[in-house]
Amino acid sequence: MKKLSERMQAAQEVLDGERVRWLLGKKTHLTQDENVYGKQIAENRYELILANAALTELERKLILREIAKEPKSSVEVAGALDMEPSDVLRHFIALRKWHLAEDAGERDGALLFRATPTKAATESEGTKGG
Amino acid sequence: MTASHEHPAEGGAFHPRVIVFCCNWCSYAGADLAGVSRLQMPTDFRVVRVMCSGRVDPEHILKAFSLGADGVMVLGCHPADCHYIGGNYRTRRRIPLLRTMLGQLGIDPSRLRLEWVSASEGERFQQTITEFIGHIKSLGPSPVTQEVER
Repeated sequence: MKKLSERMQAAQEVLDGERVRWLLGKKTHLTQDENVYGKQIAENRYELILANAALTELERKLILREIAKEPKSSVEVAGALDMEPSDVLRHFIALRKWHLAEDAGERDGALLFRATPTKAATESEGTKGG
Repeated sequence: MTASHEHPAEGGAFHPRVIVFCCNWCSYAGADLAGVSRLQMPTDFRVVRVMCSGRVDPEHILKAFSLGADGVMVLGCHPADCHYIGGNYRTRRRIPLLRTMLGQLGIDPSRLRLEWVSASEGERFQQTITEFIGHIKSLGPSPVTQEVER
């Protein structure tokens, strides 16, 4: 299990992120206005969606932190974060779809993933190099 | 307040570090009234004055916890009394998310509380603070503080 301080930092990144803030801002619209099908989301259903989104984002931020320094397989990440490898793989697929993680070859038959370098990180590397 | 500060637990007595965000127009005035009225309350809390409870970003609360706060309280105007019309409604929306996230992190969600205190409710301010600090004392130090001290 990761240290609590690291989990807190990941949680702060979640609150920085767009997904959870969007859901928070849209609460009134989602629970009080009808959608195009004339349906409303019940308050408790909304709370469940928000809690699930927050947990998913937290797990993804922790995974991204784990694969930021070196490529790792889903089993290695799952061991470090005390999660199920299948859940980690599911997150890897989503992160790859959003261009936040990429394939990094394979080791002992297991696929490796690494965090996609951000533009800022790439630029700072370039500055260091030359 | 930083995580490197020594925890003020001395002689076996636990003195929690509680951060109270007070809105300028209602709760801070309520706190002021409690002080002027010389109402007795524990001194284990620090007030952060903000213009509106809606100004309290979820990040501020997490930051307080990660820097070693044992409890955080957000005090705002009663619903429909917000000086900025809807700031307290925004806060009311955010707090349940934060409490959920605290639970996911392994921190007791009851360490975070949202209350409404108006400018004329000095006594309510005193009661709320006393009750909350008593609750935090019963919970003990925050797991974050415990981890830093280990």
